[in-house]
Amino acid sequence: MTTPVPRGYRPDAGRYDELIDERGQVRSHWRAVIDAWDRLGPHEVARRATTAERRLRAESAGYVFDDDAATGLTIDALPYVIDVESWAAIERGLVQRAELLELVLADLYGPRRLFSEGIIPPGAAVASRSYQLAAVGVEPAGARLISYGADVVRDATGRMLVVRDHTDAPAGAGQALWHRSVLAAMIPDAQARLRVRPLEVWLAHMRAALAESAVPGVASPRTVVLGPPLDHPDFVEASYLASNLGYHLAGSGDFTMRAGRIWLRALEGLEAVDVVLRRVADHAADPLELIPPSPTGVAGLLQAVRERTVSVANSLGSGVADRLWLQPFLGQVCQRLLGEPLLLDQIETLWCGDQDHRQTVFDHFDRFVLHDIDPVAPVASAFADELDSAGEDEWRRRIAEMPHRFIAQRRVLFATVPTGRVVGDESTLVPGMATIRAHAVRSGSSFVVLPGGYGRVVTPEQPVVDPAPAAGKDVWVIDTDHAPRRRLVAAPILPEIDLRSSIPTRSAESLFWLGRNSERAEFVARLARLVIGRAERDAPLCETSWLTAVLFGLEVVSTGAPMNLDPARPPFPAIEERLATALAGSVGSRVGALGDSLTHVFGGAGAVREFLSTASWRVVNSLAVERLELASGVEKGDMYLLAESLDRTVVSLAAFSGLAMESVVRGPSWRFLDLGRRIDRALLTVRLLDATLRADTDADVRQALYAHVLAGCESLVAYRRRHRSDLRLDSMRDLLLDDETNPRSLAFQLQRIREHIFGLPAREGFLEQLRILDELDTLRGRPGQVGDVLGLIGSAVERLSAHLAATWFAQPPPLQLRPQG
Amino acid sequence: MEPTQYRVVHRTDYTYGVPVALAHGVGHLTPRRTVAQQVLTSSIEFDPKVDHQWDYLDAFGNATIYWSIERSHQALSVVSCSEVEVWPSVTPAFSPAWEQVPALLRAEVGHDAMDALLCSVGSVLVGPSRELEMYARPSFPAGRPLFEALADLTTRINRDFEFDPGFSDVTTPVAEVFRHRRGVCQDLAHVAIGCLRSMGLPARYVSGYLETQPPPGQPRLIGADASHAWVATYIPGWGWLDADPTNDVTPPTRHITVAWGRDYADVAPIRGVVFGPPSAQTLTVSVDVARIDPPR
Repeated sequence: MTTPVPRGYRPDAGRYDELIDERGQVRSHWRAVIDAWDRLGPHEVARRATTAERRLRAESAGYVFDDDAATGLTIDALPYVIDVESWAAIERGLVQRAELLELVLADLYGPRRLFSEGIIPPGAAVASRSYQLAAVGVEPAGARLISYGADVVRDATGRMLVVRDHTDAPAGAGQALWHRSVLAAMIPDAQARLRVRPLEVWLAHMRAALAESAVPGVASPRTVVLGPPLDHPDFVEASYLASNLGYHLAGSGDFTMRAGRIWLRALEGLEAVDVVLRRVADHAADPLELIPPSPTGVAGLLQAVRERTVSVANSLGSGVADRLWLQPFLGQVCQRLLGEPLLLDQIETLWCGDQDHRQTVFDHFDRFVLHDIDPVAPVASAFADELDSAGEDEWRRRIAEMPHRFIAQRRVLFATVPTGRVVGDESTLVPGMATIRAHAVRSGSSFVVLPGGYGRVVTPEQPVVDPAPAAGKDVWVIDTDHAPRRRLVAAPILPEIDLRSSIPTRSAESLFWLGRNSERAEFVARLARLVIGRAERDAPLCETSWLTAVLFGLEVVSTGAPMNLDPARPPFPAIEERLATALAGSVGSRVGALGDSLTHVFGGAGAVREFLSTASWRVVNSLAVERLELASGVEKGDMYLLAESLDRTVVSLAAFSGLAMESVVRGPSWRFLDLGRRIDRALLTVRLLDATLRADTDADVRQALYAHVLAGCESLVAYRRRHRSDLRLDSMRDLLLDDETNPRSLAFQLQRIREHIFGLPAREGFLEQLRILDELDTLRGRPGQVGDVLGLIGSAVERLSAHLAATWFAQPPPLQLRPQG
Repeated sequence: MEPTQYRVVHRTDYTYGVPVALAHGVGHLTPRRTVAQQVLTSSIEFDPKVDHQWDYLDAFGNATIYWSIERSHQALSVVSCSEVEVWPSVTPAFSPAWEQVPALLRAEVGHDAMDALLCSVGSVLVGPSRELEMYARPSFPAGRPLFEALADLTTRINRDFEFDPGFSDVTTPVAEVFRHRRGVCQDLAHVAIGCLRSMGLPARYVSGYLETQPPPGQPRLIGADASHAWVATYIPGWGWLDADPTNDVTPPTRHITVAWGRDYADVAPIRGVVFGPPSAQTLTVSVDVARIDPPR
């Protein structure tokens, strides 16, 4: 039985197409996938594709700080299917390259025969500013290359070509795992039924390779991931990888080098680190010895490697083979070091620093894509044939002026691969182009290739080496029935670390702010919901002073300061406008607006992924969706939509805090999360009281005001159960400030905070924190007008928070000593 | 010819506005042994004492020290003392025409040739450029022996550039120094390096010291109270030839070699980071080089 060609799929004649062979038939390895898609039908595929995309974006919550980047995150619902034979050739070629590059690194940082024998021009290495002279002569304990990546692409004639190598901190394996999980959810039974090679085995190989790279004699090495800052685009993958590998993710400030060793600054003190899995460029890993200088990094990391007390994967200095400059010479290098030619073809690559190469580039200018290898301020890559004459002159001048910096790659026509396109509610297949970021991980003296990879759909305008975001395309290697299944590697023994008490400082800080922001988001959402509820029901009452006071309170709670209004003096901006500010805020201006708090909840949650349960993560994902709904409600000014969305937000946030209580192991991580929550609740409660009770209200509206303040503090029901009378200020004060049995009262929060401070490891500053708590208890108990002490209580809580942050999280960045001439 | 013995005291003092908790540093502070220089004694004293210290040779074979101070401190002083014996420098009797040097270099093997290769191309601070090449050209007529070309270039830089301690710091780019024709010894060394590399020739940066008080009847050299810097090029088959553009001497006299590299960044006397709240930092450096009178 043959599989019919998908309706409307017409590849160019004479150009290799992954799906359709020269006789116009669907290639055999695609049949099962195309049949499966046919069975689902275009509507169902489209529906699932949309779901997959939403899932991808929701999963990215916590990484993606601006909405523009989030909308750029897409995934093609159709995988890139590769037959076993083609894949085997790629595998062999990549293993050869990885083994070769290990030898190249060992030579460049050792005897440097490739330079002295004239096989590699040193000028090319030096121009890339990635050759770390400080690492010359440094002999790492294990291998230099632990993981390796390569961009490969099929050209229009059907050849697989290598575009470039990645040896520094090769990204993409995490993306591949992530995309696979999204696609697997879309077609749950496909992996097993279609015999798609699973990717998870890569994780086990990676753990084994890292353990093996450790200094000999370390029985169960402790590995920590050195990740980029939270707002760095690569943070997504670092976090995903760390949590899947089961290692802590730490920033450069979480490490310190003392006594010749690398330590993780954990809450309980310094913990020795044996292996650092580096997810930052090597020059950003040590600010003291590596170039170009970076403001972050672990001062002393290279020295610790020099002393062989730590292993870094990939080794410091391996970024030198990551730049395109090496590629023009790799064929000769392979002959020299391995005595054989490269197995995989690569795109013709020329280095303009070589006179012959430069001449070729100038003679056939239009054929090339031009790249600058300077790591600090590179000129954007360009397609030579698309430059206007001024642009061409500029490039020619640049190359003549600084030839060492420029690499030219032959522009090639790619093969086409079917890509899914959703039009209306139907999915169709069209010929598109895609590249594959393949990965290999060390296994003993050789490498194992991830069976699949991170595919990217590229547009004709985009150079392949450009790291700009593109639609993901999961790569499936489909086993034929007779292909033997690969043997799984045994998981290495990991050190016994009590993860309840071992927390990198940065994680503790993220947990603290996660607690604060989720509490603030919940408080603001609840209050906003109340305001909308009343505004809907009592439309004519909207100018009454109690509602004004609650709105005023909402503004104070959400942003720390009200809009510039005197609560006693109308007219005010429309309620809708004020609500919009409290909910959406505008970028950078309204810290504390609901949208802003939610963004920080995602950010915080992403940073501490390994501490959160699966269900908590799902709640965070649903909040990510809700934030978009809220934004659209605010934009449309649709109160009904907003009310609905706020209801769901409040429920999700309540679920999140419930899960924090029920499924986070009791230890410092939980304490920091809860400390944050308690501090914000105490602060917002007194702020709300302060803002609303100041308003001079008539007796007839006072009841309504008190009821809303109590509801805003989630204590109205508690009040009614206790007092069957009218609402009275002194009883309200009792319930909200002094009642230690009310989990919403100030007294209750202070009690919890005290317990947490006692429960954390002893640190300098402990006594000062207790003193502020005593001061707070005294203030709370002071008789007299409520309004007089609320401001004092608020500022004392803020002081306590700042003190906790200074005690636990302060990590001054390294300061460079002034150089002497 | 007799060697001269010198006693060198190089003192560096840092103070910080507030105490720092941790400090890491890398130093090139001990004179190295060369064909014309012997190191008789050397020591480096730290105050406060370092907690850990490692000595090793860097990629160019320079004595390098890495240290960490892991206690709170608000000031750091590093005093490097050494006694060296320096033989008068020799001039090559013959040097090849400058154009032949790259080809001769490719045919050579060994440490010097490797260094020369790495020093023929642009480095972090000094790259070849069109304008440096234009400036250098007149010193390099066809067929001129490299030694003569270098001496001429050194003289021209000395004549065309003004020694001006107020103009530049270590971050001033070579292009800026070149445009304004002023700078300190390391800037002039960088200009010379850039010129040589622009001509396709090897050029390395040499850091060291000068005799503080001149012998009777000789002028006091510029740059004698701090670290000094000059340039060297490689003459295949003969070795490295030093030249000091700041004082217009090729080869230099009364110079003590500490370390060499591609440019200042490779051999800075002290680089370091400290961990503490941001605060003001002061730095004072003094260098004293005195002749040791031969015992009678």
